[in-house]
Amino acid sequence: MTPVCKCSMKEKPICLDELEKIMTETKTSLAGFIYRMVKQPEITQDIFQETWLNVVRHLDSYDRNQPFKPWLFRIARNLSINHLNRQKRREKKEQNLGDIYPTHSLNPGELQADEERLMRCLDQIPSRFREVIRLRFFEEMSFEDISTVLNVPVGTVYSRSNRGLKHLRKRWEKVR
Amino acid sequence: MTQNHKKIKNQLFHYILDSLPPKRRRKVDTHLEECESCRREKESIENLLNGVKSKTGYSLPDYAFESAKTEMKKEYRKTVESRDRETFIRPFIEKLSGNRSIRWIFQPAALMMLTVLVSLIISGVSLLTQSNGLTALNFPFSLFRAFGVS
Repeated sequence: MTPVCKCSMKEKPICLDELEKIMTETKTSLAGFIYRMVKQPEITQDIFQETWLNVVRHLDSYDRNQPFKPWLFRIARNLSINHLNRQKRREKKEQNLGDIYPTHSLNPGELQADEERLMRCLDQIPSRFREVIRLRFFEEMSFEDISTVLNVPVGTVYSRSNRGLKHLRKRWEKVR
Repeated sequence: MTQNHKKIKNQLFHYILDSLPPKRRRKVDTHLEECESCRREKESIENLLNGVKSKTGYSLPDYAFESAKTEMKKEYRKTVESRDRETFIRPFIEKLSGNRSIRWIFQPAALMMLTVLVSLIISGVSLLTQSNGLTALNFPFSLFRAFGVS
């Protein structure tokens, strides 16, 4: 998705109307992407808003010749990772104090047994592989777009996808 | 055949997520056309993945979306539009210079022009005072007189 904004000059940032349009178009996929990472609805809402504030703040660094969606998802991913790292640190601290922070699961009641098993398999594979599979399957992104989101070469995305799927298959065969 | 069968089953996740090279994909396609067991396996994995996909999505509540939109608009006005207002002269300079890299020349040029203007005024005033026999002390009084202030 490359914004087509006729009202602004080439080197000027995207106009507000165009941003609003993209925001509406990517609403579901972006929220889903964040939710699958942080697994908490309230945090998802916060990160969704923060993502768009960051988009506006860093519009100058966006290359208009590149697709917008991977850039947007990259910002959301970085914010989600920051949140998860903060949470991990907090949990560690609280564990040291003897208070165990509750763990979150993704809609555990709604998934069927098989689906939950598959989800657990996906959660168990190393995060660098899991990320690629999630972006590929849930967000239906191309390998090129995934490489922009993760800021790694396309070849790395290919190999991570390959290895991640092998991990997933092995785990799936064990649990079924 | 059994070997091939196992190989194909091992590639089903890759096949479904469209992560196979075209040649291998074609092989799997051909096998799936012939083998019902593998076809059923593929369908079951596909259904599972689709189930997970639909159920693990998140629909952002309207109030959260509207709030994010409002905040985004505010931020846009604060950062982008205010910056544009501050630098309203920039497009003029850009148009004049045509080239981004030589735009820096315009700042010292403006400074030089200002310096020349100020020095011209000073030299003009000093010439005027000299020709009328005025000094720095009585010059202000002569100015008052000229404007009719006694």
